Amino acid sequence: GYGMGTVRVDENDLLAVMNAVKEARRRCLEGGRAVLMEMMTYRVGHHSTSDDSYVYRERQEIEDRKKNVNPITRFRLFRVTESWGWWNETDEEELASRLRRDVIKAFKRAESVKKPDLGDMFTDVYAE
Amino acid sequence: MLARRLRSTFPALSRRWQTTASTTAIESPSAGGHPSSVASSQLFRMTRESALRTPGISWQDDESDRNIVGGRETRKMNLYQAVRDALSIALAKDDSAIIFGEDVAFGGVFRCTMGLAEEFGRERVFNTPLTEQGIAGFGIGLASMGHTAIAEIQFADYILPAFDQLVNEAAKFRYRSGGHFSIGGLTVRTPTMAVGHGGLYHSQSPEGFFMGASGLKVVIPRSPIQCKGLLLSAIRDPDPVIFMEPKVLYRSAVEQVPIDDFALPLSRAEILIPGSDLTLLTWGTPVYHCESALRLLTSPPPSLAPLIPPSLRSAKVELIDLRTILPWDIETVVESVRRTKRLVIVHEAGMTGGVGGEIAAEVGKRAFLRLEAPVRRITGWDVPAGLQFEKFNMPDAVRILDGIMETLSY
Repeated sequence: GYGMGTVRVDENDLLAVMNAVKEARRRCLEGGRAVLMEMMTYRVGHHSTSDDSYVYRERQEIEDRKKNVNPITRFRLFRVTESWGWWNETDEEELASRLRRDVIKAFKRAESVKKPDLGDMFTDVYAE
Repeated sequence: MLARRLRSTFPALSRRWQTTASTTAIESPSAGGHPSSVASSQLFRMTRESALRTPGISWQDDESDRNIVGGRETRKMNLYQAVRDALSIALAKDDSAIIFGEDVAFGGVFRCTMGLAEEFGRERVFNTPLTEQGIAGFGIGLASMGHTAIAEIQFADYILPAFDQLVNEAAKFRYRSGGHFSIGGLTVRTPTMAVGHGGLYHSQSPEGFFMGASGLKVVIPRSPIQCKGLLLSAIRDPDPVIFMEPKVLYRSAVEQVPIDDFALPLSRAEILIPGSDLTLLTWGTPVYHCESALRLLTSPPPSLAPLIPPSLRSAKVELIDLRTILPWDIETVVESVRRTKRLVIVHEAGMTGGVGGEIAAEVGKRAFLRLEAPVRRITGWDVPAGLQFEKFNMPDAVRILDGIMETLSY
C-alpha cells in the first residue's frame, strides 16, 4: 500500500462518521501518518436536469436507497434528540418555515436586482 | 460471432432504414428554441432533387460509377440523425469499426448513437469510463492496430484533457515512425460551439487550439448533408480527424439527406453564395448568422435602414464555408479574395489565437497587393464563454453586418 491507514465509513450515519473521524484524527496525530477515509454515500437525483439516470439504474433501487440515505432522518430515528430534549416537532416546524421564508426573501431580493452592466462581461479575466 | 457476420453481409441497409425511420418524428425545438437565423435559412436543401445534386457528392456504393441520381432516395433528417446515419453506414460496411465514449450505448446525450448498440451489439458500441484522456488514448491504440475507432468526446470543452494524447501521440504517430505506422482509423467526434445555455464548459469552440498539431485534421460541418458526407470521409480518411459538430444545429438544422453512402471532400471549402465585392468566410453555426447579415445588408429593416448607405446595399458578398479547418483550403479562399479584394472572417472562438488570425496572415501574405482593406475578424471576445450575455459574446448578424460595412467602405 501507500503506508496509509484506511477506513470506509457510511457517510450518511452521523454518529459513525463522528467516531471514525475522531479515531482517524487520533491516529494521524499520534502516528504522524495520513489516513484515507472513504465516505460511502448515494446520489439520489440525476447528474443534472439534462440527464436521466434511469437509463443506468432501476427506479426501485433509488426508492429503496432513499429511505435510508438522509443523515438527518437517520439520526432522528435514534430518538436521541427527543429524549435528550435537543429537538422536537415544534422546533422542526419553526425551523422549516423560517428557512423557507429566508429563501423566498433572498429570491425576491435577487429578482429585483438589475442585470449587470454589459461591460461586466469583460471584467475578472485577469487580476488587472 | 455468427450473428455479426450475418449482420454485415445481410442488407444492413434495410435495418438501418428502420432505425433512422423510427426516429425521424417531428422534433420539437430544444430548450432555447431554434435560432432564428437557422430557422429562416435558405441554405438547406429541402427537396430530394437539390439534395442529390449537392456539389462535391461522391457516391460510395457499388454503383459509384453511376452518376445517375434517378434511383436514389433522400430522407428528412436533422443533424444528429445525419450523424447516426453516417455512423450506421460506417459500422455496417466496416467490420472493424467501433464506437465508444461516455453514454454512447443508450443513444448518447444528443441521440447521435441511438439504436446503434442494439443494431451492432455492445461489443461494437459501448461506454467508456469518465476519462477523455483515456478515450483518446484507447482510440489511438485501437487505430494503431488497424481498427476503425470512432471516439466521442461528450462536449468539445472536455477535449482539453485529451489534448496531450491528441497532440503528442495522435498527431505525431505517422511522422515519428517515418510513415511505418499510422492511425488513420481514428475519428474523434465532439459537439461544439454555443447553444444558448451552455455556459463556460458547454459552449467552447476549441478548433484554434489544434492548429499547431499538424498531422491531425479538423472538420466542422454546417448542415445534415454536409455532416453525413464529411463524417464518412473523416472516418475513412487515412489521417486522424477531429470532427466537431455544432450542437445548436443538432435539432434545428433539417434537410433532405440522401440515404445512400456518400462522401464529401475534406480540405475543400465551399462557396455558398457567389459574390464579387467582399469575401465572407466562416464555418459552423455562424454560417447562418452570416446569411442573415447579408439579408440585412440588401434589405435592411426600418430600424437599421438609416445606418446602411444605399450604395452598400447592392454589394455582392461571397459567402464561403471553410468546412475543413485543418488543413484549410488556402486555394479557394485566396482565389476568392483576389477577386473581391476584401475579407471578413467570422468565428465563435475568441479573436486571440483563433483560426481567423492564421487565415488572415496567410491571405495577407498571398494577396497583400490585391487587398483594399485589412482582413477583418468578427469573433467572440477574448473572454471565457460565460452564460450571461452569451448573445453579445458570439458574433451575430448585426455585428457581422457592421464588419462587412466597415470593410466595404474602408
